[in-house]
Amino acid sequence: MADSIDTASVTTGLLYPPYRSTPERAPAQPVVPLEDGDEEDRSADFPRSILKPTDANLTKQSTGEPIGERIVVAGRVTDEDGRPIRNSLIEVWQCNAAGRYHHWRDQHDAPLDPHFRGFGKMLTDEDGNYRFVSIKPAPYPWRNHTNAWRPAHIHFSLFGNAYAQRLITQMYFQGDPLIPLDPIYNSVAEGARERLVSRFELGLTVEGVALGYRFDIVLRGGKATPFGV
Amino acid sequence: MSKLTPSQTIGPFFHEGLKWAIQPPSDSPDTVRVSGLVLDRDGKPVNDALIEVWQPAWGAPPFGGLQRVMSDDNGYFSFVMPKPEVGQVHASVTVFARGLLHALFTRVYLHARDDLAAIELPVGVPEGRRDTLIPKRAGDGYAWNIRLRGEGETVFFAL
Repeated sequence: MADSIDTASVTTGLLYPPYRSTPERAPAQPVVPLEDGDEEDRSADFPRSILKPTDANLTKQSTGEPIGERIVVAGRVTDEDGRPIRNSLIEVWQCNAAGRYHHWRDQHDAPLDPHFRGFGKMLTDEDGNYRFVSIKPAPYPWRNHTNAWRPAHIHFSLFGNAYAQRLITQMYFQGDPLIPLDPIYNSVAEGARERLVSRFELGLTVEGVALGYRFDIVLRGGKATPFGV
Repeated sequence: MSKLTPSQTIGPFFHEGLKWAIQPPSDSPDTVRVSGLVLDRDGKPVNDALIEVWQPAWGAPPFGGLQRVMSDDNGYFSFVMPKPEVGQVHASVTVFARGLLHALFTRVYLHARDDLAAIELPVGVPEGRRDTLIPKRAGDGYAWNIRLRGEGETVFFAL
């Protein structure tokens, strides 16, 4: 049987009141299924020339070393049928080891790190693999509800190989006690939200340098993909 | 079948990390500018939206038909489209914002003769909501708001 591509299968819908800004912004009208057009089967095809050598190593973007626990994050990007998503752009951004973003709107009273900006980009390889080096982001408070804290997370943006595969999501860290308390994590249906948690993997560590975490990503098939085949 | 990785909100802190892909303005005699506001349920401007405009038949490397824009402090955004010489042109538009659990997909349509009734929209767009996908003439360009929720809510598509 074909699985539904309805996003309801992976979220509880767009309206999730425990995450306080959804009632103001989530559309109320039903979406219209789009049947025509073929441009959704294509995607922006970024050349490797957009990448700077330090884009995939967020600890090497300054004149000095950032404070924090060095990590390697790696994984494989595939579609629902297990086919690799090749040569496709991934962008990441995150806060620093004190829980502060390099961003003018972040008012959290935690120090900025002059040696950490917290963003990078990379292209997957011919087999869909990606890898980057960073420092472990910290939890930080937000004003969603009383004593609210976001679990440590890294934001991911993926283009896939088709417009319809565009995905922005967040990656969490195995064992973080804040995860079950987080309304953004919990906005995804039980049974699916667990896929957002990266796993510690000894094989990905760099001995003496950095701990390794695996985060594999599955994008939907394009319209060209016959679902369930 | 592998299990899909769920979407999560883009949050409010994406600008610094994603701005590398914002291109300088590329107005030319062959293009026209579409500008407007992103608005929430209460008609308040959304000052932290990421908008990506996709026109694969139009544009050169490295971005190849993708325009990335961000709404400003007033909720304002603008992008360019090819000027319709004959008939209609359209662009695919993706919207991300804090408070949106996943991407919203919509489209914007222009007609060479500004003939609103002649514009062919995708099957299923309710008659009374056609105008949410068709910008209005404003000076040298077009005005088009993205209403996330509430009165005049933009039609969003499931791809």
